[in-house]
Amino acid sequence: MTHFLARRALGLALTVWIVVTLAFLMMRLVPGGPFSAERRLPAAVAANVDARYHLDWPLWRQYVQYLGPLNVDTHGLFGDRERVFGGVLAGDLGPSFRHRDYTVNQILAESLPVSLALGSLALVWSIALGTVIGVVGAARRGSKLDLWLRMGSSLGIALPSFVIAGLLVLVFALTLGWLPVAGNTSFAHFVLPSLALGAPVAAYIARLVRTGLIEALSQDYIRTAIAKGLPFSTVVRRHALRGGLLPAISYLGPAAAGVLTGSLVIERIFAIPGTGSHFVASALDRDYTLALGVTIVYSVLIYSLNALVDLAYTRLDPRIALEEL
Amino acid sequence: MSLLEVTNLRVRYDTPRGPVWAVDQVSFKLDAGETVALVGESGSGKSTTALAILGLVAFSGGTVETGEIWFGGKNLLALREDELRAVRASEIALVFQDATAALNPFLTIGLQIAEVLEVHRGLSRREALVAAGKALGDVGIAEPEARLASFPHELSGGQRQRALIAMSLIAKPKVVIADEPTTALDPALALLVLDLLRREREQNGAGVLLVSHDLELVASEAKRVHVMYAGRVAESADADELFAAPWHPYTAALWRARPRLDGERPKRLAAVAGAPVDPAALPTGCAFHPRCEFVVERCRRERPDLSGLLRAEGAMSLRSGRRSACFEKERLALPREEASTP
Repeated sequence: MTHFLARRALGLALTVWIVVTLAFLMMRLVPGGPFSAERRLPAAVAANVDARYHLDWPLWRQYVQYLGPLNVDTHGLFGDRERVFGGVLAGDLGPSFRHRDYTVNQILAESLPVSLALGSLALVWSIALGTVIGVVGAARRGSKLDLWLRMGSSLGIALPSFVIAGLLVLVFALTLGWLPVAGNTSFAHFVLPSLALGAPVAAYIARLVRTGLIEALSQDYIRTAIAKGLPFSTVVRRHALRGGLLPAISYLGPAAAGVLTGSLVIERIFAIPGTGSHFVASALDRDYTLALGVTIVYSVLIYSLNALVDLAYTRLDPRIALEEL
Repeated sequence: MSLLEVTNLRVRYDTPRGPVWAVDQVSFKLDAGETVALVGESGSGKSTTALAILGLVAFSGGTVETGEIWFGGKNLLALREDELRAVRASEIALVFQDATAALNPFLTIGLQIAEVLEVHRGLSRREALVAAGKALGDVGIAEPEARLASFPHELSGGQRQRALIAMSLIAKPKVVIADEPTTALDPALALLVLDLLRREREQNGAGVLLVSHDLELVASEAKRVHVMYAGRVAESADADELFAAPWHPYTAALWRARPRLDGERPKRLAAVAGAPVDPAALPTGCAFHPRCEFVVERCRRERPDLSGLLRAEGAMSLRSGRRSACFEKERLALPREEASTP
């Protein structure tokens, strides 16, 4: 276990470093900069702005400053001039280029908890519902119920989230008046967005569990279990479920990372100040530090969740040894 | 009354190419303490027959169309699912052929054996595990208690095979159905399996239904043999009679095609001439006629029923219950010299 964790920690560090480096270079390769969208600045002003954000430095020096952990800033913008440490490796994601007076750390500290809360809620109900629908579909394979459930999950996957969100608002907020239309001040505000956010995940899990379970139920050892005189419910629960859940679990790693970091569409519709909108906005605004910041958060999350999935695999399938991962 | 009696069993599979009767008009009996064999090529319906006894053909998409399977005064085909469940493994057990595929890779050996006793004998998990440990010891597994916590992949092939048999037989079933029990096993392991089955028959008086394509094995193990072809019984006879002088051309061809260890080794193994029958496109008349060296015009038109000999040894065949589904069985059954003497 220690061995596994140590190896994954090393892998995480390496992966994030590569991601940061590539993202850093790619952001700079994109034409335009953080201030080029505004009205044309006089050359002297532009030079001042560039100097203030160190955009006049050679790229390598900007990279070294951004990565840290040594503070090479001489202006004091990235921190105190006297400070020895700075940059990502010191836990400082730098100032936002567009949200003046805010650091990336501050922006993430404000928006990430909102996204995490909403995402967790969406994950909890979508995993639970998706699994139940998948199991019922596989156990009643070919029945009317199975057909309806499959149609439902196809819809869940096919319908874009803004359509689902719109329908939810129309029915539950505007027509029935049970839930608020938008905002994030109470738990009730989170219900509709979490439904819209989790719907495709639930639908996808339902499909994966159904096909996984049907595949597991066709194995020879299931025939053995039936021939032993076990009730069908025991056969499904004890003999088929573990194997049947494996595909859904490997999907959950990346899916959870996506849901937890929020969605631009859902956040716009429900006026929720989460991280999702920063993903798109920061890239479009060439807000270099914010874009890199959310990229780091996302890659750390996806890497950790995948490690968690691997860990879950070893718990579920005794043939997979932790040492080999 | 026999321990197990199958009459007129008919199993249908609906395939994209139309209905296929994998088992058609099959009847046989099994008594306590004896071994009866179903023999035939792949696709002859022998395994489907075995699965039908425990109501397992639905698992592979088949339907039992007609027939009766009598066991302990009950027709198994008329039982409800929960009544049938009580029979499975407890009264009639199946030994599957491939232990690696038949054991669940996600569960410990101990649990897989213990759950049989939990569901049929009402034992607690702890009691059942103790019994499972004993059963593993009985089939010759070293340190049986330690093996209870092992997963199938942690055992050797031989241990898995032993564990599978211990699992199948732990509830002391009255009927043991062994589906190709030695196929894909090395000779030493095959001997072990046969030994365990024989012990079950001799010590506990179980009736063994042996499903196999291995004629040598059947000749040495079974008292009575039913040769199946294209879902039907081609010939039924006691083992010693059957192989001494087959009454059906298919039995004769199968017997000639068996690999031999003694005598001169042929360059090529003999084979039954012609292609195996396509169950979705059965020939008219006798299903074996396109491959048969004794074929006459009638074989192409009419389907022969199982019956004894008409002449000479007919009376004897009635007594021993020996029957063959061939119009020309006399030509096979009666020695050529006798037939040709004026």
